[in-house]
Amino acid sequence: MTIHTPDSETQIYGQGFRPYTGPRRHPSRAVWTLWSYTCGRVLGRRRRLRYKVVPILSALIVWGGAAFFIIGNALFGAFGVDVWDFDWVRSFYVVGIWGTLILAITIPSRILSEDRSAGLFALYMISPISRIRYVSAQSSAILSVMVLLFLPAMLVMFLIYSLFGSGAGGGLDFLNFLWRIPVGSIAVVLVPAAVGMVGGSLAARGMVGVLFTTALLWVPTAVLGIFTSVRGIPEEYYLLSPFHLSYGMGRYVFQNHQVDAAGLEILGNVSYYWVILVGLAWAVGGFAFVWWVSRKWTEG
Amino acid sequence: MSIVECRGVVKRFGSATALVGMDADISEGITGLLGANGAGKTTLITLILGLRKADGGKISVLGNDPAKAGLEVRQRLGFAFEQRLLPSDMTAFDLVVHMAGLHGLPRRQATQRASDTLWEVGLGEERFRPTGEMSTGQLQRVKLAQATAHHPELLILDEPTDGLDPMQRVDMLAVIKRLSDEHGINILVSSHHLAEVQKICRSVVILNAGQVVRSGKVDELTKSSGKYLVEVSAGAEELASSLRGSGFLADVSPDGTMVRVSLLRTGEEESPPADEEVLARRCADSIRDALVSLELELMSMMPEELSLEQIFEEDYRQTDSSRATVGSPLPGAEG
Repeated sequence: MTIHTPDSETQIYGQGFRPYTGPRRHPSRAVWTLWSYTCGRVLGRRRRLRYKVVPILSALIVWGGAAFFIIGNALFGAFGVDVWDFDWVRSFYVVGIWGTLILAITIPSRILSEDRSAGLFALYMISPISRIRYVSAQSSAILSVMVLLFLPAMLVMFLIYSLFGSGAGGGLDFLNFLWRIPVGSIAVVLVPAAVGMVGGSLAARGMVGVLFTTALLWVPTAVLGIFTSVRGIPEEYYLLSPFHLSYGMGRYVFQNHQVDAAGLEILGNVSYYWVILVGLAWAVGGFAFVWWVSRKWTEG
Repeated sequence: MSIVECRGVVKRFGSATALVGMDADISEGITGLLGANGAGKTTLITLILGLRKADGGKISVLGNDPAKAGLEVRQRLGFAFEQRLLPSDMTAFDLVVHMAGLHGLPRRQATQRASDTLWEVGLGEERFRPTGEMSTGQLQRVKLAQATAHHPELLILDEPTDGLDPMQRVDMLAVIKRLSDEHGINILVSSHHLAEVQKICRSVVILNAGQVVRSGKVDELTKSSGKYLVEVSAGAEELASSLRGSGFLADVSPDGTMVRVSLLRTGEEESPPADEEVLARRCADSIRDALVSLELELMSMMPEELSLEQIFEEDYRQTDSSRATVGSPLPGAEG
């Protein structure tokens, strides 16, 4: 008697690849697929350990900073010292900005240079993704992760400040705090994210992109610093520097209703509306530059 | 039914014209897109994908104008490009899942399809390896899988066997053929390997200088060259001169065993006096008479079939000579 045993390969083919008749999303949804994938890339998801170092370091700085100030305040409070004033929150704010800056300097450069040099950009262009959609998805994904890193820590700090400090005086004041947290978080990360993308778009290698981003963030600051000290031009010109814009935009949203004068230290007499306007111009200009420059990436 | 229709398509790059009023139809099954570097193949592919806009004429892909409905068209297409680059830190599986997702498959289905497709292209065991650790042959399969997982209505393959050894080429061609024959995917193969195209393609489109110089079914194009090949044990030279005496064009192969005889007599090239069947019978009768009168031993006799390579060469020679006569402009630098 002959016993027929099914061939294993045949079984795999028989149950495997076949014409796809399942659901398909609208082509416009591809941008969300790219967005969620890039969010994972920023965090180093499904990548080797070295891709996770920067997001972990960044989170440690932001949350470590928050923990340091909360514990420090609690300890000083135990000795009867009223330290729940806004300076403590502002000190954390600076630490938080540095945490997000590390992310802004390294991650967009790596992602954009990898997209170009490893052929991912070419793959996107043959998918239902256009250049404008590509830049939108990448920039919003990078922004989203940076905001999500910064926002909860800031929220915790503000809530503690509101509960124990001299901040929120009532329900309305508390609500006034609340809406400023997401908007302020976006304001803080907007310019660094755009500058990071511009830096990354200029280089085919991640490290070179990091150098470009660093230069874009601090060279204008240094140049303007020299001009203000040597030529005596007003300090308001610091506004042109992306680093100070990031700092200034966040401070405008977070602080102006509370400690207006304190927020003006570095900004002279310039209206905060101008800070927002110039910052938005940097961000929009940065993203537009990446879109413009990407037209060359598939040539050849 | 045509998958891609081009009518009078013109594409210019500055002063250079890459496509010169091109008319072409790409039908169901596997179609070969042939042409030398600079013939306009890549330009045509970018127009099909909607990445560039034609300067004139009309192009329709799956019933849509790709320049206006690029996203919709690209969702229904798959493209495996020639360049070797793939993200080296991504596993083949992650890349295929991501690409299937971008082409509209929900996450769960994309994951399922990625596994199935990687098995189908022969990378089942290797699917969780980073592409940076893969050989050229495996990378070609990953490229094929990322273009196929969402089951495109038209799959475009640019030099799919480049960099592969002979066995890998055979395997790759078998996979491509299976995707078309068993899974109903229409495929456009752009390649320089004419023998491979002949082996797997149902139709071909041959481009030169931005124009289609020949297109049609491979079987029909290669069916007959209008010549007989006659093999004799000895006396090929005598047979050839006897046939020449009867007015036929005949020449002897370099090894002296085969005689190549044209069905037409001298002077009949411009206006053949009858259809090919009648001419073939007339020629066969003359060959038989010559063999009998010369008392030669016939080993074999068959109509000569053309290879795509011969057709390609002939088309190129003709276009080049007409171009030299007319002095038409050279196409753009794009291949």
